[in-house]
Amino acid sequence: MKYWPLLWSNIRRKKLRTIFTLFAVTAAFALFGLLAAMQHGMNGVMQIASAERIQTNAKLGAMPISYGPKISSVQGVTAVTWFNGFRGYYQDEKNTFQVVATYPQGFLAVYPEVRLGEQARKAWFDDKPGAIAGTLIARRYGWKVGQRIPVQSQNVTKEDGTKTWYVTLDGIYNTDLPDRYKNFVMIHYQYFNDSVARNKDFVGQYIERIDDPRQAAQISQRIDDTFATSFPQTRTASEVAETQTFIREFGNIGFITLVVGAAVFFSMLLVTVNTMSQSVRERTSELAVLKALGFGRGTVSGLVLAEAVGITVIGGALGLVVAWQLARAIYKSVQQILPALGIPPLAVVLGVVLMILFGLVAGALPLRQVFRLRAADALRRA
Amino acid sequence: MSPLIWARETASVCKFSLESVRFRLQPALIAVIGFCGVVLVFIGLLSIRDGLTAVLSHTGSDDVAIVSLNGPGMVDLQTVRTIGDAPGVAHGKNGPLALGDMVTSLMVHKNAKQLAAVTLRGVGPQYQEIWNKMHVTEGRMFKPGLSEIVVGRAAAAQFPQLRLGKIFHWNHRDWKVVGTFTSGGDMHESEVWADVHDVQSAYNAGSNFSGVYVKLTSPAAFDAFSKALKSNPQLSVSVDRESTFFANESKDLNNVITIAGGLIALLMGIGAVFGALNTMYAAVSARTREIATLRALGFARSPVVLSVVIEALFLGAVGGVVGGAIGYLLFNGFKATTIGNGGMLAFQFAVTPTLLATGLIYALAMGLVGGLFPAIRAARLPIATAIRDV
Repeated sequence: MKYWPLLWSNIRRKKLRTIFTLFAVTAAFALFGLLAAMQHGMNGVMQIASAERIQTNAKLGAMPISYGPKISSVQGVTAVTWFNGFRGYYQDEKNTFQVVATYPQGFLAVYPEVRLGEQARKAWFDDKPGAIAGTLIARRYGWKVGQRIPVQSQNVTKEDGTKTWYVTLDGIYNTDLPDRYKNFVMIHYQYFNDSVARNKDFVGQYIERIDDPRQAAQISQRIDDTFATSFPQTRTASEVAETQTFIREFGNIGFITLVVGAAVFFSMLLVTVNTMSQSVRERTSELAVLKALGFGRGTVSGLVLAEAVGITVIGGALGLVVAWQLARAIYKSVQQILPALGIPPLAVVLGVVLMILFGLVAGALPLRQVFRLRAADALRRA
Repeated sequence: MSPLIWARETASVCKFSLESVRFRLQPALIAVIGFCGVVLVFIGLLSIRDGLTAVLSHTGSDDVAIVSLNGPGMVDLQTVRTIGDAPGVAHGKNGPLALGDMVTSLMVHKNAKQLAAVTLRGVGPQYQEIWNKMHVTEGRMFKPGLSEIVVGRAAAAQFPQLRLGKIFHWNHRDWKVVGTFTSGGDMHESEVWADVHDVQSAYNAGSNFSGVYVKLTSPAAFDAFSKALKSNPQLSVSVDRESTFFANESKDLNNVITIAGGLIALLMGIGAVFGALNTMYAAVSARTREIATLRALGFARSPVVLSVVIEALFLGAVGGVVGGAIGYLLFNGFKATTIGNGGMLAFQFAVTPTLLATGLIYALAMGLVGGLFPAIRAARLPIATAIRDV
């Protein structure tokens, strides 16, 4: 590192320009990180989708609870759960979250992604007014296992005319799914259904686990055929297919955003690369002097490249940090559409590769000129 | 110094600096392209939002209310009657204008490979009392009992299977397309409409409805109407104005576009400002001798500062205008689809005058920031050394 003082004085030569260039790179990579996070937010839902799950919705209206046993007896279905629920809040009307009423045994069988301790499982299964909550929501409100929690509903009324549902927290679940899925309060469907004032015995959605993902279409068809002459009729599809449809429909806009953003990112980098090259070009004669003093080609190139790569890597790393913070800040507002918003590790790797690559290009372009010039000519020019 | 002299000095320095831009064409051009790109992307992304808003804000009137159940389930005939008896409901020839409708989605082939959801709406015979903008433009209106459908203009454009005269097989029935309709450019043009009883029987729904549309005596009648339904212990319903209902439904998508578009434009703007800073510093240092000479001749600091700022603003304005013009030509009217309210929603990107103005202001702001600091440096140049130095 004996060249450090030389490198440092080059960097400080035009302090402002170096700083501006650095921040321009930061802005570019912040954009890169943000786009990567959005891309992952859109397509990351595919990783959540399980090929072993299919979902049944009513074509119109809501399905009765009596569909449950019929669905579980369909060949190929290994477990069934169902969802209903309401938008709830805790203490303050602004602290809203989703309260999901489900069939606990079925829920944990259909969603192996949800991790819950053995003891908590048992406690929840046997405790009708019991609930489990995601790690994030439990931490946010400081809930402890065993605590009795009053959950208010926004507009669903109980038989007694109130809107407060008292539940005992039997466990806190964790999962590797995106943060949105750690913010649910899960209660017994039976508890919900027994105390709700109206629309009893209805289910919003059935989710099935199947034994063979390759048979998903056939099993779905068998379920729909079961209810072909009932009301409501059902539409069953694999989670993967449903997710693909969603991505494609929404994708139109998402794709445009990504393409525009990517074009912007590269043009921002090119402008920056141009500025950096300019700063090396201005120093052509100095570099020629170095050569005349006996510095080898390798050393001179090394100095120039190290400076350029240094700027892009430091600026770029800052940019990724900015993007990470931005993604965290906007997650709440976009989680409905981009539940998996976040920068994936692969994007970080790609980002670092791009930083180094653009740094090398920014340094290498003017170097060609430097080496083409004979030291004597360069000195004369100076 | 008298204001008049000051103004004259400023004008001449500005004229001088703007004329000299052509000698510094390359860096100036890079700055302009930078601004132009930012404005272009800003306009492009936000025209998506404005286009969606245009469709949704055209949808629905203030004197129509939508009543839906809290929670799953269907609205039965008795509930429709109860709603019709509430205060504020307008009356037509056949009694109160409370219309049960049926909303579901059809899966239709967009092409050989792609299936997409389209909203199917079953409406009763009094539909024109609620949706007075709806007009059949080709073919005719459906006749009840014959499984006939009419297709919104945007839906007909998207789906070959839904063109006039086609027979569409869905839910164990053949539906015949007998007409296409317009609806003032609102979201219903992305829908398929049929007779409400045909839809009920195709889905074994008896005489149940998915929601109720109510024509009110006036927009002001909404509050009393809503209050009456909500306090009725026999009902558990939510009541919305039709004019705000659909905009609320697409709030999530709107959020994502506004936030994503805004952040992308902001980050680009920051990048472009740094580019502009470099350009303007270079401009100031290229004009060191000139500025120093002016100062030596007795020109005050402020005209010099202003000239640099105005040059940067000029570059910003050029970038903003060019970016806006390209954006308008490129994006305005661009047709796209997304999902809204359960089915396909067609819309066009809209580059509105407000958006163009915002883009221009943004470009000027970038120019201002990019020019201000170099301008201060210009003003601080020590005159004697600056003249000698260069």
